[in-house]
Amino acid sequence: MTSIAGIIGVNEEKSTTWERDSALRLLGTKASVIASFDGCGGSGSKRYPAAQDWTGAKIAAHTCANALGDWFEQNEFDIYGFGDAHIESIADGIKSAVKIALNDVHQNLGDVHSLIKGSLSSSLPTTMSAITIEQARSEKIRCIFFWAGDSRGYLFTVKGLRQMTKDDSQAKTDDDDFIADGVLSNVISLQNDFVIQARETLIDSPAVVLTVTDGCYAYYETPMDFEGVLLDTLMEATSLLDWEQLLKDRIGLVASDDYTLQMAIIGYETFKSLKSAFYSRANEYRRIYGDPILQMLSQNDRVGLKRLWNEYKKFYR
Amino acid sequence: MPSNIKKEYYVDLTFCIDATQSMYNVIEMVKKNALNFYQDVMNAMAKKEKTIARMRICIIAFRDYKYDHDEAMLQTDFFTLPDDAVLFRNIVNGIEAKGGGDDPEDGLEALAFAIRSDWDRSQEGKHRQVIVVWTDAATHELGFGACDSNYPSGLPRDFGELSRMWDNNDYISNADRRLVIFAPDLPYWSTISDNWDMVIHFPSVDGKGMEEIEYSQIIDTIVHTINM
Repeated sequence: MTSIAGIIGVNEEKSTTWERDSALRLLGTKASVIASFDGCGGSGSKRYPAAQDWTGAKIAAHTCANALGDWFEQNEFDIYGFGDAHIESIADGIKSAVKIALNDVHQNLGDVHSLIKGSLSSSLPTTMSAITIEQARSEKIRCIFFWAGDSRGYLFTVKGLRQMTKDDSQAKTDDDDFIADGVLSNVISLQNDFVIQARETLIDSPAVVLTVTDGCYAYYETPMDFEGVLLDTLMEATSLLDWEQLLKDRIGLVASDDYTLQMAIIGYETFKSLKSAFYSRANEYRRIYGDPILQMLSQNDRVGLKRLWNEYKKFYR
Repeated sequence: MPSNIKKEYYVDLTFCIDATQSMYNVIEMVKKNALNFYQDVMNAMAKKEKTIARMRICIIAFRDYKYDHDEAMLQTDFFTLPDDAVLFRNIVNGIEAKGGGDDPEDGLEALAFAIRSDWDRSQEGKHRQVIVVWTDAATHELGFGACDSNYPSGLPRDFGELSRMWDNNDYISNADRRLVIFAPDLPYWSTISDNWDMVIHFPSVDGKGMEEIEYSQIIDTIVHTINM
């Protein structure tokens, strides 16, 4: 049985105009799943009277969250795990589940013909980041990261934060652009084809894995800052619930978009043991990255930041 | 750790406006909002905690070479807003909804001019090069009006060549380009939205002067494409 000590979930709709994010967490005896969804703006901002005037983006995010959960439970993955199934077949299963669900809900929206056209439009669009977690045959934990769009999956250990997914974006620069600025090249939607990306990894317990929407990470000066937020709030927190609230407050300070975070804490017996384990990393991060980043930003030292980022991403990616 | 991040854009907008008779309402809407357009866009961007460092706008008013001759295609230079707002308004006020002849218009020629706009290609900041097309008509084939003495040289000879222009980074940045079409779901607008990248097409009703379009929707759409 996978020793998931706890799941933290943070979700905030910053504006009733947008209200697009959604989340999933299912804890099973053999396998568990967490996921974050971010309904996309644009044609996703179209409202549907048949669905309480929800936007297409919100409908998409919630529909896909439910579809993933149903697929997980109806196939009894929570009870029996994934066995020897290849990640491609699991990804195909997820894709089928969400496609069927979007089709079904669209039939009930009274909007059979979506009028808006073009590559920048899509009906019921949403990103997804999901992680399935189960005990492998060895002592390790089998984590499979699934995604579409720019919602991300991370592995967070005492060695640091690692981005396990790669944004589906048409950004002209890649790692060097601190702020992602690309049109999404792959999102779940009703009318356009999409891919459920997948990456499998075996991790040592204890560890933390998390799924986030871009509202959690995109509003900082550098991609290094997000780990700082995780560590600062963890060091300040006195309990898991406290950490959850601190994360919500801290991310909410800077995010101007809806944001969703789902975090599974694996193998830590108590919150105290989790916090103690990361104490050393918190100090190391502050010394090597946190304080220097602040200083470089105050001096507008972009060269220094770039140099620091090149060091950081050796482990981060 | 509060962030001082500002997502700042350098935005060039080229408006291709069908200036034939049936488009009276849209042209009046553009005239009416010429002075406040800049602030309306800035306000919408501010709601997303983003800002525009510099906005430039130019207008291409198009009709039909075969019927409107030397009044078939009128293109302005780029105006920088808000500094040139009054100048922009004065130019827009000079556009009269008239002419057109048959239903299809020379929208593809207008689009060719738009793609070849004098875009800001400086290295600083994040750029957006947005073309917005407004028409209530389908388009002629490229070259339909070539028999007219006012038809310019150097335009693409066919739709394939126009498509290649759209993908040519020398004309318009592949990463920064956005094409917003308010036009009927008819050729070649439908051809464009079915095949070109970085396009969003809001089908309008053929020949109805786009009476269903609202100014707020235009602002929302422009801001949305900037942020994509």
